[in-house]
This record gives sequence, structure tokens and C-alpha cells, in this order.
Amino acid sequence: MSQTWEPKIVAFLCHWCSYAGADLAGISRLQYPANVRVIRVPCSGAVNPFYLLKALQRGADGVLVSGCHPGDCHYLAGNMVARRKFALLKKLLEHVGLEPDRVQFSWVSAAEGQKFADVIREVTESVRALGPARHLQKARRALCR
Amino acid sequence: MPVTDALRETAAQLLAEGTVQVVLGWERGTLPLRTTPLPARTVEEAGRLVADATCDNNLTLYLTRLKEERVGLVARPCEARALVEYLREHRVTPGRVLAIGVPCTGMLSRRALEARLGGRLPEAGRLDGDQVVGTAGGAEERIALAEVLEPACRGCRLPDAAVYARVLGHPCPPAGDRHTLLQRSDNLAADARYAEFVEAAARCLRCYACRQACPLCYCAECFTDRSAPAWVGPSDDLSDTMLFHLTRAMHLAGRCVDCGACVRACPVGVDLSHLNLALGREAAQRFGYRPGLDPADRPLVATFRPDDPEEFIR
Repeated sequence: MSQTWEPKIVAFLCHWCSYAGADLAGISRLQYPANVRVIRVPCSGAVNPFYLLKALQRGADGVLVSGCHPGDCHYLAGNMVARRKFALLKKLLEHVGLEPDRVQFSWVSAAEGQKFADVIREVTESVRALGPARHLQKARRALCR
Repeated sequence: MPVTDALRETAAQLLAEGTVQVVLGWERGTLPLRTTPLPARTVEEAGRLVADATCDNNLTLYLTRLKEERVGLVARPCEARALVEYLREHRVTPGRVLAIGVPCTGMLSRRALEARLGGRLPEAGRLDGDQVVGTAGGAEERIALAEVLEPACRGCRLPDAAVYARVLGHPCPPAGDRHTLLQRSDNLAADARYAEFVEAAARCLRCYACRQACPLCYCAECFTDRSAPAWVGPSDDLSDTMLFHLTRAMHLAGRCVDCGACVRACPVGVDLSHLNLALGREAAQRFGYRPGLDPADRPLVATFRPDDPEEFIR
């Protein structure tokens, strides 16, 4: 398994910025690792920290949340509220001995196709360095495929 | 005058003159050294009230189950801090609750007492000043209350907010900073911290007594009880249990008033209050936010400052 293992990363992208940034990376033919599974969400502030824990429980090796830069939120302040929640989540994971780098955050605007590709590359490499997720997972029979 | 006598007198007076319609307090339970919440509605019932180191439940939890317009709440610092959160979250109308402050000597830890009695439940017991007198196996033992206190009470912080309408006796002095209790886990390696978390989660029965006893866990429908979508599996699967505790801690971030009611309610002695403590410390250090102090504060995760630190964001 270790020879063929590739990190599986779930990315929650905000509809207004990061998802469009991913789109731009695509139409610009930028290369980035194919390890991310994208889930489009209305806003990074709409991402319940529970979603991230659930993704880790169900077999993701890493999770990324990406939203608009501060000040650019389509809903004015969703990303600012998200920033507080995720700072707390990261602290909590660290406190119980889970690798905080399994959950990552970024601001990517609709114009930053190159940054999106770079972020995915960096996140994939840092999760690859952590190796397959060992914590929090549900028994294998119950895993989503 | 002992605080229980002063309390009975004050409660009877408040009820008789109609200032409040009910006084929410505790009365003696059926087991030794146990109490149970009592909504006293008559002067006679007020005569059954007690306030001492065996009052486990955080009374603020029961406020919203009362129908009365004017409620007297027997409040230790724990109740007072939770009441501040209730006011902040618009859970109770300002002016509905008259807080009767009672001094607190710290809560008796039943587990610590049982350990001192050779692992046996006390057949009889009473408090005598700052000592606990417990009888187990026919032998009476006298133990200083300070030696069998709840962990949460060792680092109690008093409410700075003046929510008390009356104060009986002298409030206890603050016993120090609870956050220092995190030093032990801070010094452990990540794997050791995880091992401890797994060990605690493995013992958890998922009975939700912690949630039921918590004054701030008041959602009409808890995420664990939802079946569509089923957020967490209903079984005692280890990963589901860990998700439950992590998410409960997230829901209490910046809200937990560290009363320890969850720890006292746990039937198997799981103490995961350090999760709440760690988030409380983060809220204080990162956002300068402390729950249970000022009813005018905006809730921690419902607000933001433009310059909140974001060093962890790419």
C-alpha cells in the first residue's frame, strides 16, 4: 500500500473565489497534483468544522478549506468568522494529539489560478509528508469509497 | 449564620413578599452527600433548600424549564458565569432572574471521596465545617474537604460581572488559574496526548450525561441526535465517540464556563473538560476573550476583528 499510496485530500472551496480560482487554474492549463476532491460550498464561513472531522473520519488524509481573501467575502464577513472557527479547530486537534497539518486553510481569489495550483501542490506535499491518516478513522468496512 | 440558614430565610422572604415566584436551588437527595435541584415555590419548600459542597448540578441549566415570570436563582460563581452566558445568548430575558449569590467552598468530588473510603460508596455522610464525614463499611472517616475537591474547583475563577442581586455570606477567594492544569498535557508528546484522548473516548458510554448536565449544551436538537443527516453514528464506535467529544468542545468554544458539571455527571469518570479548557485558553490568548464575564460581549465565534491573527492560512 505504501508504494502506491497517494494522499487523498478533500477541498472545500468557496463558490465565489476559490472555486473560480480552481476554474481559472484549469482553463489556464496549469498543472497541479490530482489528489484533491473538490466540494463547492457557498462560503468558507458555511463550512462547519464538523465537516472536516467527518472527512478525516471517512478516509481523507487531509482537508483544505479555501475562501475569499479578507474583505472580499461575497457575504461580507463569512471568511472572517471562519478564520476564528478554524483557528480554534486547529488548536483543538493539536491539543488532542492529532496532526494539525491535516487541516489546512488558504485564501485564493478568482484571479489567482496560479496561487490555487501552488496551494494544492504545497498542501499535497505537506500531507504526503505526514503519511496516511492514522487517527480518527472509522473501521475500514464502513469507509466510503 | 450558616449559608443554608441564610438562604432559607432569604428565599422564604422573597417568596412571601412576591418578589419572585420560584427560587431555584437544591435540596438533600436520597443518597448520602447528594443533592437534587429544587424549584421552591412556597415558603415551606424554601425550608428544604440547601447550599453546600454537595450541590453537583449547575442550576442555570434549569432556568428555561421554569414557566414563572420571576425566578430566584441560587447562584455560586459557576451558576453566575453560566447566567452571564445565558444573558449574552439571549437565552433568558434580563430582569427575569434574580441571582442570590451564595459563597462556594468548592465541590466535593464523589470519586475522590470513594477512593479515600477504600473504593466504597459512603453509606452515610455529612459535611462538618471544612471536613467531610463519610461512613463506609461501618467505619467513619473524617477527611478535609480541600483534599477531595473537584479538579474544576481547584482553579476556580469568580465572575467579575455583577450579576448578583443579593449576596449571602462572603464569597470564596479565587483559587488560581485553571489554565495551569493544561501544563501537564502541553508537555506530553502528540502521540501521548492522542493515546490519552483515545483511552478516555474508549471508556465513554455515549450516554450524553455530560451534555445533559451542561448549562451551555442547550440545543433543542443536538447534532448527535439528528438522523437526517446522521452527523455522528449512534453506536459506541470509537471514532464516532471522538467526533462527538471534539464537536461538543467546538460548540462550547468561548462558551464553556468551566463549572465541571459534565465531569461530575459522568458515570464512568471520563474527564474531557481539558478540551474545553484548551479552547478557553486559546480564546483568551488569541482573541482576548473570556466567557462568563460580561453579558454585553458578542459571542466569540459570531463575531470577528479584521486583524484577527491568520498565521495558519496560506
